[in-house]
Amino acid sequence: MFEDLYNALQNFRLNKARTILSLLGVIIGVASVIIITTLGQSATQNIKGSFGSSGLDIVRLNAGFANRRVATGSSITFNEDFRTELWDNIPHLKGIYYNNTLSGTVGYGDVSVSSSITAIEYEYLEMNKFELENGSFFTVSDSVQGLQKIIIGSEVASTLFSQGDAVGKTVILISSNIRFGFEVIGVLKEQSSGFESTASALYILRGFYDKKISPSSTANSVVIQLIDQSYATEVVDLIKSYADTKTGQTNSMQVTSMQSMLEQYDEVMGTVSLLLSGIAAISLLVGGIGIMNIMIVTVTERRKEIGIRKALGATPNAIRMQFLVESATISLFGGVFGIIFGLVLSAVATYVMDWAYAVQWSACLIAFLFSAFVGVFFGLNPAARAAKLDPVEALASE
Amino acid sequence: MNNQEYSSPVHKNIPVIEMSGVWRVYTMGDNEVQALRGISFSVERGEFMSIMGPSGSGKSTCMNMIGCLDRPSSGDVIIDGKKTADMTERELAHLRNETVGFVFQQYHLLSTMTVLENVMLPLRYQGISMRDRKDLAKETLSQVGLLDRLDHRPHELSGGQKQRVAIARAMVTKPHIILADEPTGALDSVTGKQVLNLFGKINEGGTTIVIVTHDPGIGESLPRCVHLFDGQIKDDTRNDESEHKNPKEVFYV
Repeated sequence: MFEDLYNALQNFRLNKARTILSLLGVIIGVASVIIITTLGQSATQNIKGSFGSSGLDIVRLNAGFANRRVATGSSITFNEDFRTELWDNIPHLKGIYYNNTLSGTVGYGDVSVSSSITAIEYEYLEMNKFELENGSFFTVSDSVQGLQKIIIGSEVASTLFSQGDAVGKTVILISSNIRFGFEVIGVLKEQSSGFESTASALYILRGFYDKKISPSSTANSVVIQLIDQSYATEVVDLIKSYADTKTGQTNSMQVTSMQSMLEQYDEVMGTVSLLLSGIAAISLLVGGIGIMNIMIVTVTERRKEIGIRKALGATPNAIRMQFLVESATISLFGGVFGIIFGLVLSAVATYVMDWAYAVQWSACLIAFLFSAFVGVFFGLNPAARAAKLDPVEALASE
Repeated sequence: MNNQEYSSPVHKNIPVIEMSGVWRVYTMGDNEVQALRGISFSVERGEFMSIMGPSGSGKSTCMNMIGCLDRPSSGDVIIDGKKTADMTERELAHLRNETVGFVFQQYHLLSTMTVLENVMLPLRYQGISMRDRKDLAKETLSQVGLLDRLDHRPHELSGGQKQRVAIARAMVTKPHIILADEPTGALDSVTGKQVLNLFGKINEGGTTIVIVTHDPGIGESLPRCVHLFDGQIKDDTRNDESEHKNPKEVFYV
């Protein structure tokens, strides 16, 4: 066995170009398996990273497509009754926060910034685990009284107040036909959590929105905090079916959660990876056929050598083993080089895309074992041909 | 070289090769080729002989029979007491490995291997350990005077050296029979003579040597010569008994 290996290496040395060409199929196959799995893993980690660690316990409700298109009477409005219904009918809830959004501009002096403004309820920012760069959050009394106070993102702050402190200054908020002055009480650190990122955010109080902009309004969206993120998928389904039952429509409400999105993403990613791995496996198979081809050529070319070995007393088994070891060696080399190429190429790709480099070692192992299997499997037929050769004919061949 | 005489140590009456009524028929398409047509002869241990005949006489087929590379269509070939007709490929391989050493006209050394590795090769198929193989191969190579060429590759050697390596390879398993197919055919006459002398020396150690050739010079110089013609034995000459015979006459009938 060891000597067969030594022998195989000697033969590769003499047929360098051919050996490398036949290696190529396996190298490409194995490398693509490694690249696909590594990039898939890296992309997943990257996307999960951008979601942030927090926000997974949040479910968000928006008006559904059916609700917008079909003007049937039984649609759900995000009013106070609905809030009570949620509390009564859906388990695992920790908090319910109503949001209204409006678009407008915020100005200070000559500078103004257009952005979307979110009217929020007490403790919404704290629930999102946002942190302050400066100033303070809304208090309960701020919220109840609906005071003209605003908390702004760090980017907005640095645009409006290029020098000096933002906190305590009054900014002018203009949205369609309304115009109010707001006192800046806090500047948020740049952060992202769940569905929101704070850099260019503007938060006012829903108490104010209710009182001055749109009295007894219904919310645009509802943000629900769960007791634990593990309930996310369950709660999403419960709310959907609750809404659908109530309205008698499907997709009456759009219910999303980071957690269930991640799960869907994982599912899609898994399917895509499987598909791509299948393609890679096919290329490995093609590589294997390439090896079989080259081994048949080798056996044909080395009939004389086979004849000599048989004359010297090699049994059919010994000859079979010799050629099996040779084809297995080719494909194992292919496997090793393929893994190296795959790791290097995916390292370069993740570096360029600034992703985490997440190698799936199990995939490496599987690709390696598969390439070994390919070598043995596709070597069987050529090796059997060699073993079966008639020594007299083999010796007589040129 | 024609006049060189070899004495042959045939003391024991043990036959190592026995052919009785051996036919070998090939079918090539619709044609039937009768390569051997009922050949019978027996070779005793320690004989030094030649099998002679023109091309197409069946001497190559006869050599393949003795070398256990081929089996008879009918009749018996018994090599070292074993009937080859009933043996499997595997058993034949073992018999070849242990009983017969081959020497070919074109040397048939493996070009990827060194001289030492070539000589070690038959021992490998006996499952002998690497170290023992090396020792045995070196010992044999020293007998043919090539100890200084161990690590050379065949293409770095002269024709005579290559044939000596091939002989060492044939001897290394200490076979009862050494079977040489035109061993001097590719060599000049001086080197050819040296090779024949080497065979003579090996024969003195008790090894049966069968040289297959069309060269009447060799046939006449060896103690025994079996002439084949058209797949049959035309003549079985013992040169020590019938020195008056002109081998040329025999050959060119």
